[in-house]
Amino acid sequence: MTPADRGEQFVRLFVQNQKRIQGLILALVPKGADADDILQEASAVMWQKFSEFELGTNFAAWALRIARYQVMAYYTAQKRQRARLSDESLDAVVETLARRAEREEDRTLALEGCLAGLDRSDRELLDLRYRSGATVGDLARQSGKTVFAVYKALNRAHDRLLGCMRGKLSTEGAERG
Amino acid sequence: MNFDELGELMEALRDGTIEDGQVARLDQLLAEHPEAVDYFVDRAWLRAELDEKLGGSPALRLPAPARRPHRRLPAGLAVAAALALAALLAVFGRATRSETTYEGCAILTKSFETRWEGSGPAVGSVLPKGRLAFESGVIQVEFFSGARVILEGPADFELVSTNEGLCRHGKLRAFVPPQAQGFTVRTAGIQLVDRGTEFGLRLDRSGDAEVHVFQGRVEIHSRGARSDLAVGRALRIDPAGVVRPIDANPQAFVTLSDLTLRSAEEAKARLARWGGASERLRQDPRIAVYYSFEDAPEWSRELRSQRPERSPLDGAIIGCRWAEGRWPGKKALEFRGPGDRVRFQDAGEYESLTLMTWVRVDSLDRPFSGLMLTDGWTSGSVHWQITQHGTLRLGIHGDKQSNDYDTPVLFTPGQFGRWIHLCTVYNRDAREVLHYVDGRLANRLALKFDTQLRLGAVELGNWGVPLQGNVYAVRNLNGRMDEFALFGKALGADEIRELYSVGAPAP
Repeated sequence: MTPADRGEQFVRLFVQNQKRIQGLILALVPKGADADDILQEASAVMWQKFSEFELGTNFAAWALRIARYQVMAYYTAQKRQRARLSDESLDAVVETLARRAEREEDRTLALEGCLAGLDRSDRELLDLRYRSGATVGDLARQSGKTVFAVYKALNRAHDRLLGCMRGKLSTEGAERG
Repeated sequence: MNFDELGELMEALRDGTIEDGQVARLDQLLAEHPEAVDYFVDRAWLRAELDEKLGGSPALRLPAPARRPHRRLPAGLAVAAALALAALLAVFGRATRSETTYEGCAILTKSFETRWEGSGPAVGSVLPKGRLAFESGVIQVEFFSGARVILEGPADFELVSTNEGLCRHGKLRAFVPPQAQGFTVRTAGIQLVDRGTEFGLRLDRSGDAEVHVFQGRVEIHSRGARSDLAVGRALRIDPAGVVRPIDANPQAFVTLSDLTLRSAEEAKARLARWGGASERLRQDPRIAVYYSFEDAPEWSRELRSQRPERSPLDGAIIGCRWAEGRWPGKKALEFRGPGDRVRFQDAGEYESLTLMTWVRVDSLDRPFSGLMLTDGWTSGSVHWQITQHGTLRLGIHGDKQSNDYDTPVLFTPGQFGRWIHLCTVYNRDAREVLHYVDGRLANRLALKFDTQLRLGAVELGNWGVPLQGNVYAVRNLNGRMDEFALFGKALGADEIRELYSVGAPAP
């Protein structure tokens, strides 16, 4: 395989699994510059080590493992206990995420459909959270609600989306069957 | 299983507000419940998708498949691979951590009896480009290049860059070390470029200028001509550009030792004036807790309260070191390590209260830098702290709810390292929170709910709630504190202004 093919191959696999990788890092490190740095470093390490990756095996599992080590390196560098999950929990999360067979394109389609069907209030809340990057504290201040109420509303909006997506993905899977 | 708690923990982690105890709980949920892992994974994945879909973080696009080159040149192929990777990394390149920056070209290091036009900068502040205008007094400005200027009022001086100033009028003495050679002072008609170490410039409003060289050499550019002025020489230049030599007179310009001496005398007078006010303050019947930071010898690990007898109000000093406060001779505690704190116990219950302190914030390293926090975060708790964004925050916990009352951003790197007076009033009767900074009202916020406040175990400069076992949150202040008061009543604006002005490090 030529270096160009190799590069293309890597980019393709990476793109196909990018959200899983981002999802993992952002579930383990607060959103912000550090999380961005970890993602950047993790993708650079993946590229450096890509020659060791055996084509045909599970790229997600391989890439998530690297992302996980980058997160752990960050925890160590920070020398803090904060936000540090145990190895057992990290393993369980990484394995579960790697085992998921859904394709990112299918998920994106499902998400678009489900977002369109969302209540206005849920949609507005998610816009504030993701578009404006508001923290829960910000949302509480802006809306005059308590942080507890904001957490509840965020849970509800996410759960509705997840439920809807699960439905769409399973019927589509069955149709393809 | 109900996933609400899990969802809440995930969102708190994302915001960086999660506490260690909550992390432990998250870990426990994931370890004990396989369905929790499934939910965690689902929601994590969804959030990355929402970040892209709603947040507009650019989606990574696959570069168009590279045409297979006819001739297989290894170098060209390596370039193609490198391009593919570059496309990938470019997307993440935006994520490179941005450097902390601020606009500044000098620091105000001394100010003696300065009467500013309008509100002037405080000693220790970073000065951005722009005008420094004052009617009287003397200041010292240290340029980032290393040049140092003592300016006597009335003066109007503009900072142009880290190594250049524009003088409209005033008297200045410049000291220029070798690393700042080329330091330039311009006036309307002339330009002085320092080629040595020390010179003086007097510029009247009429445009009459005098240049004195005390050490080294100065280049004078005037009306297209350049002349050099050597050590011990002086010139007078009138507005028409007529130049004549005069006697150099170093005594006509304030020196650093003059300024230091005069500042020290002023500091002594201010310290004495504050000392008297502090004595009166401790007698104030509204005082619940007062620390002047003056009553203990330097080896002491106890911060004595206003009470003559020992009491739980006396603070236990943990980790902090004694240091210099607002003036030479004034004691302060320096908070630096993550464990540094002062602990005390207060038994009061308050309908309203006023918190006041003099602090010097050296940087904001953590999500929260504590000023005064109750150990707990339950009904009646009070958390007074500075957020990493630079806002001053009063957090109040009620029966089943809590709310944060923030100022706009106060602390920027330009404000680090200077003494600042912070005062926050919780007024249950008026149903409002008021924040004052350096004696001035910063903002007023309506109470979301009212509640009686109970402190109990309290910490200055950190947060002391054990989250789990020996795990503590790190909220230490990075800086110094040299006065703290807690009044069991709401103080008025006039009183707060007075507290500020009697304690201000310089006028």
